[in-house]
Amino acid sequence: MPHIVKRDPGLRLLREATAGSRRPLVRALGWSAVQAAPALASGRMLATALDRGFLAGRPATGLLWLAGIAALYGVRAAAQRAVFDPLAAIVEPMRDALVRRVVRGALGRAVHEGLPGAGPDAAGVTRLSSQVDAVRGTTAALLRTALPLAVNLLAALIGLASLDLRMAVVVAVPLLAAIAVFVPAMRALTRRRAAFLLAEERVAAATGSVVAAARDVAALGARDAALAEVRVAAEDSARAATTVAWANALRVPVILVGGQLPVLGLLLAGPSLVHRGEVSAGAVIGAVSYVTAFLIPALQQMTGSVAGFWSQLRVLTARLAATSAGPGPSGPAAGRRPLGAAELAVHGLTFAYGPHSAPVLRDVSFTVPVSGHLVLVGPSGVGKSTLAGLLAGIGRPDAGRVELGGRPVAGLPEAVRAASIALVPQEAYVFPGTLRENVAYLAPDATDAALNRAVAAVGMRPLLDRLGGYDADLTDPAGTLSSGERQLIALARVYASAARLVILDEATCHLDPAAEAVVESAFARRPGTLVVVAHRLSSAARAEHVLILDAEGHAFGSHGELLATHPGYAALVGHWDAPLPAPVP
Amino acid sequence: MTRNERAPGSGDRPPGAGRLLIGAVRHTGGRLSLLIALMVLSTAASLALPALLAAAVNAVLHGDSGAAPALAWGAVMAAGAVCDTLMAPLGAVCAAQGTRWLQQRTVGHLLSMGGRSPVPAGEAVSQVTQAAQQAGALPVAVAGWGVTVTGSAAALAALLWLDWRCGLAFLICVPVTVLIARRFVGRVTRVYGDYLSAQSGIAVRLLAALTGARTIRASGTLDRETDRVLAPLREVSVAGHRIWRLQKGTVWQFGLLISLTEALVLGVAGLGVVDGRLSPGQFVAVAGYLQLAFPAVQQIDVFFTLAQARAAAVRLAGTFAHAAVRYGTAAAAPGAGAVSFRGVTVRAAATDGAGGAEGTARAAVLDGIDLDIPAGACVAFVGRTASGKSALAGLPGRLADPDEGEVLLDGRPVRELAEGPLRDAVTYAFERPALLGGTVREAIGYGRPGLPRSAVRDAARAAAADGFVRKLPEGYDTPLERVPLSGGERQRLGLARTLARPARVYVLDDATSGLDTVTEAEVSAAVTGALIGRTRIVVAHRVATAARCDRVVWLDGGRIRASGPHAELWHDPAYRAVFAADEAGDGAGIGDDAQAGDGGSSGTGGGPDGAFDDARDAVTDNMSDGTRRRRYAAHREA
Repeated sequence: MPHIVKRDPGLRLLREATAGSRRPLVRALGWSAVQAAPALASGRMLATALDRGFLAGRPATGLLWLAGIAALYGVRAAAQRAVFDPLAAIVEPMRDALVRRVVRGALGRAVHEGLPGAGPDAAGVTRLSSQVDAVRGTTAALLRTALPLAVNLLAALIGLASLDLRMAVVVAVPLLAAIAVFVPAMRALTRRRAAFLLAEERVAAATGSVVAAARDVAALGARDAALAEVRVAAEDSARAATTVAWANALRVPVILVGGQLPVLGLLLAGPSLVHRGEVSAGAVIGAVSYVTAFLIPALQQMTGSVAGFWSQLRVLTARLAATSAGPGPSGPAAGRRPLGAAELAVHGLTFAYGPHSAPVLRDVSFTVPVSGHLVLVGPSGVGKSTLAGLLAGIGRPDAGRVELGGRPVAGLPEAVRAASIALVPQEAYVFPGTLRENVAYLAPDATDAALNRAVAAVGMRPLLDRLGGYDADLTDPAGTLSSGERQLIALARVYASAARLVILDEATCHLDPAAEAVVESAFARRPGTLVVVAHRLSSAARAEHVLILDAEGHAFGSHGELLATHPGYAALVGHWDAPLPAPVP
Repeated sequence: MTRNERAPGSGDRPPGAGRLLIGAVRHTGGRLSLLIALMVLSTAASLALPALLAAAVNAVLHGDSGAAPALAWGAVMAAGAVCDTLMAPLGAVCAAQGTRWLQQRTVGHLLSMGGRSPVPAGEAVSQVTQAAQQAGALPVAVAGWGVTVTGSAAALAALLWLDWRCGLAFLICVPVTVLIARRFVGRVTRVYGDYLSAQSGIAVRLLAALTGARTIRASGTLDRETDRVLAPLREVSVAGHRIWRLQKGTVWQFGLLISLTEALVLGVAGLGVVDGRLSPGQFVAVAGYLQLAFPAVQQIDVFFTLAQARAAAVRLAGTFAHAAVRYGTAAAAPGAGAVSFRGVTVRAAATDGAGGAEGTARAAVLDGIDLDIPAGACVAFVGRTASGKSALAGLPGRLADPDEGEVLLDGRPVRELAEGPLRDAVTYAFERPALLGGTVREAIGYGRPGLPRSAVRDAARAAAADGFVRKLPEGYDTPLERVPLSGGERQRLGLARTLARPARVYVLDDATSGLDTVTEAEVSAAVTGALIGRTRIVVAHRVATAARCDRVVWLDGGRIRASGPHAELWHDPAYRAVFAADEAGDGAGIGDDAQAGDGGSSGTGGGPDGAFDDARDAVTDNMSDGTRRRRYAAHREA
């Protein structure tokens, strides 16, 4: 059994999301009470219509009382109409709160826990938004049905008691017993529904991965293995669906005992009561109508749709609570004062992805002087991006430290760190918005002149002109701009910022070598320290300092020094001591 | 012989929607008949109940102490309840069995198309999860709907029979209800559209922000980004409130209409009691039949459900209209993996789908290729984008079939081979491998249950994947979904998966393009060692990769332009230009096959110009990889 309905983080989520909805809730309850008017009085009025009207041969009186019932229905309709305002006042803010939480959680988790290379999960985002909407729909449906239902049950019992207390007892005892049995049984239903939901997700996941890999499956001759994956998931899901249906079947005996049995009781007890003249014939019919017109439908709703909504809501909120949990909001970004240009010193830095995994970085140490220019080289997958992240202060090393001007970057307040150090990853982030919003992202108060300087420095001028100035609206940057153009925007943004340590993590990989050289020399001239994770070896020749990382460890020096002393570096660069035997292109 | 012509003796047509539904019904194993029987019984019981109640109430009013009518009512009620109790689970089982059958058939068919399925993965998933479920539930829904409507009609008939005036009063309300419902559905659909589009605005912004997680983290702008993503929330709320107002304006009308109808019918019945047309008991019966007749009015949305389920079945049938790959029955001919292409022509897929190959002049992707690859040779296919090199490489393993000509493996046409022998003989590694299985270990040994751990490890080592796998949190047992793989790492796992399978012919379709040159040289040397004596077909974008093969086949515009050792071809400037064009590229437009198009997911790797790939590398890589490897090792030890 899955544990997604344990300990009720879902209910807590729901409570938090509806906090502040107390007043509309009271109003909704009030209107629901008004909706119960027919449930309270119609049986009694029907009894009177029969006793004094139709059965007494006075049709006008009978019709008058029926008109009274119709008027009560009118009241109910008015209350049904009015209840929508408070319902909207509960459900809409709740949805807003949930969306906020989901977005904050998803973004926060990606930002704080995401590993480099982990892409966004489009299916996950879609699933989250449809789950939030399902919670909204279910909550609305539940409030609309459960509140009037509870009030109706109570009102019908009171109306029945006002007809005759003994008949009320005959009805109430089995009814309450049935409810007492059903409510705890709903837990099982909720649990089974949760299992079913998970089983369906597994079918979707298995199908998705297998179908997306159809070519590989065919080429590997692994069709049976792939089909078996889907079959196991589909069979689980079918079994879970059946289990839910059996749990649902419990409602039938509950209705039988709680609703139909009282009718039988009334029919059996009725003759003697009427015979002794203690109850009128109309009263018996009225009592039966209370049960058949209000109590049985209420029971049916309670065991059917309301129970379904409730367990669905529990499952959904538990899922949401589990998937949307994220770090709380970080501190205010205002008042950030960047550090000045400073020396970058790394001492004994060690990092591994997990406690059982071999370290990616082991005991890395080096120092880059104020305004120095360092290039990081090494084969792919060796940990260059990891080191770049640690230098930027956005990861926790297992041992050692990174210092900027003598202060450990891990200990800097978030706002100071973010303002002092800028990291440009390989995948440039350009968001839908104006070009100005994007370029001035890290310097919101920058003048056009300052932005122009940054744009000119990185060679983005032609792009700016092509897009038509800073106010150009980039509605779909991923679709309309090339990877290289997006990289230029991200580079101009960082150039315009106040950061005094800039780390370019293959940030120019989509530019041609000439454009890359323009960017790197612009950043080298810019005040502050520059670290470049090299994509092409030409980067290394431009720097004063080079750090090579490879499977054996690391070495630090100038391009020339490393070329002469570090064989791995020489191998990487392709400068061999032997003459080249190759044909000349 | 055209691509669409199927092997002889295959007269069976793809199943249509009807046959799929019948198949789903057949797989309910007789439970559906039992279910229908129960439904009929239950409906009959509920129809009998108001009449029995009338008798019981009349007995009450006459002061009859005989409990027989009341007990009869109770007995029928209990019998109906037993039917009801069994019906729901039985219905669920029927629907689940039909669904499961449809799901498995659909996935089976999708996989039997190999890599040729024109159905996008997203559509396939929604077919299996949604369409199969809707279609699987259709037989039960139809049965239930039929029984309900019959029951309601019978209740209406009973109402008319008890007192035609009451029946008439009821019928008055029906058209009004339908009118209100249609107006409401039309309006709410429009408003709901606005709501959904505002909501997807948030999803789009969130997705965009997620791609920039690293930038946001480094810039410390999480709060600002959160606000930016949430900006459309106001519109969502506005549209949401509009839906509420719409409901507010409509829902009460339904309730009131039904209540007023009830009051009207009861009034008519009351007058009937006064006139002596109806007994008081029959008055109660009128109320009971009224409750039973209402569902027929409320069945309007059932038509919607039925139409939806029918559409789902049609959607599934669309997938089955695409033909599966048909394999022959022969075993592989004895041999060590000689591959021959005889007059092979492949044309671009027709735009109108499966049919209509005649007359339409489709562009040739491959045009009359004749080529012999001796057993044990290592041959590179090179050429510019869209030169046809991947298409040619896909033919020996029947990832596609030629429109004309024949591909032979050790002298026997690959079309004649049964699936098993073909897959055992020819295996592939891809530029963007799709990894399956729960863990890294399972991904490498996929489809080969019982592969020993040491074999997995050897394969990983040969693909230079062992190093980074061991750095993962749980090494080879790390769940795949928790491994953020770069393009190069993914390729190496895919390569390991291929190397873990014994075959005669290994096709490496740009399988090392995401690696830097040093790693690639290592991998190539290891692969050469592991596959010594096996036939290798290497689709290459890089000079170094091509240079390491015994022979290069240079494709241009679907024809073989030249063939020979790399060093000889290198004298031709046009040949050198093939590589220059590719390596100056900026990551877009690589690969000349369909798979290269997606490019959306991760971001790292995948490009042809991995790090440190410049002309100099090309030159140095030209020496034999043995020499190079020894040198590198010596340097490292120094």
